[in-house]
Amino acid sequence: MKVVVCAPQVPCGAATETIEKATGTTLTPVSEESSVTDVLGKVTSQEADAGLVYVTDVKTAGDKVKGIPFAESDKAVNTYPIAAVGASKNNDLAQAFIAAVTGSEGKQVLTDAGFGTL
Amino acid sequence: MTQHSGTGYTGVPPWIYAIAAAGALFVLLPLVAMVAKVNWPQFIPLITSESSLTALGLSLRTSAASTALCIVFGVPLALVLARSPFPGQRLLRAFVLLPLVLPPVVGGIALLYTFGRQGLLGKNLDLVGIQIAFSTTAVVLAQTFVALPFLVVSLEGALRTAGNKYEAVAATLGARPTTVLRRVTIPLVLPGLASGAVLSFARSLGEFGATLTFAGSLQGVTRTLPLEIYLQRETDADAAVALSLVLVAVAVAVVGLSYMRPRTLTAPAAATP
Repeated sequence: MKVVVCAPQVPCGAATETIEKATGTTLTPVSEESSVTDVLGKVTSQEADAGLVYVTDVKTAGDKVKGIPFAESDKAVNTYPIAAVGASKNNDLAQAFIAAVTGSEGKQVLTDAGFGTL
Repeated sequence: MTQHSGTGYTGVPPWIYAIAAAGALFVLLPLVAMVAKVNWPQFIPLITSESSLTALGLSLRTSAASTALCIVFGVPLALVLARSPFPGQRLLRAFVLLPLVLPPVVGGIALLYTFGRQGLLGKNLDLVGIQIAFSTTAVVLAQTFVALPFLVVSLEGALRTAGNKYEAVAATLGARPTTVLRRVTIPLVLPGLASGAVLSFARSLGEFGATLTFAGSLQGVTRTLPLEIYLQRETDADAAVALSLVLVAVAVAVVGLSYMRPRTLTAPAAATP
């Protein structure tokens, strides 16, 4: 079976190493890509049989791939903060944007894309 | 290759030199900037790390293989394009030269749909157990795809310049076409063939986009020096710059070689005016 992952030098590759440690497995990939979209691309083009990507990538690929959830993925979750520039001239607009993203509508958009929200 | 008329008149207006200098600077300055950025105390350890040496070795080996493929397929292509007019010749030339102007990533996608597991040829190759994607063969194919036009262009130019007078004479003396090719044509265009081969090698060495798209990236198998530089850039800028300098040095050596070659090879002819 051909497995493709991210190279350890890029964030998704660091996440891959975390998963390997958490599950006690060692992957022998046929390729270590420079970005997670390259991993997904190798799977959607059917060059590779499987790849390790984020939940959100599985969502964007739609029917072309089959996502396989596993419990240990909890160990490799990326948290994205949201913040406004301190000395911004458009402070009101920035606050409105943050409110929109963290509000119910924003959360719905993020959930639909496969993100978890706090 | 340079020819002097012997009058001492160069015919180049002085202001041309100023613009030429600006053009030369435009190419040289980025290289100087890169050299200035190199972390010299760490230079040797950076370029002699296991991953760097593996990538350099793979690059040299695959580029040599690609150059060999370019010669095998490029020489007949150049001969056909230069010597025998046939319908669709201009079209064939346009298509052979296409990789020169095509973004390499497009070449990679095209190769993927040809030799990939689901590709035009790859599907059949897969049935007989040959898988090209993710292999060193894929790297060689990607490099050959982008480098072939360099050999064809150089050699076709050399063939046209050489003309076919000697070949015609050889033929009237009873030489068969293959003998003419082997004993007259090829020796006559050897300098052009050599510089074309060197250019193909240099282009193979620098190939990145098609390789990344088509072959993937794995140390020792598909991760050539440009891919290693791209990856190192993510975490270790010093290593990326150091390796870039190595690639530049190899490229300069290779291109320098291509300008040495024709002169030494044509020297005997030039000695008898």
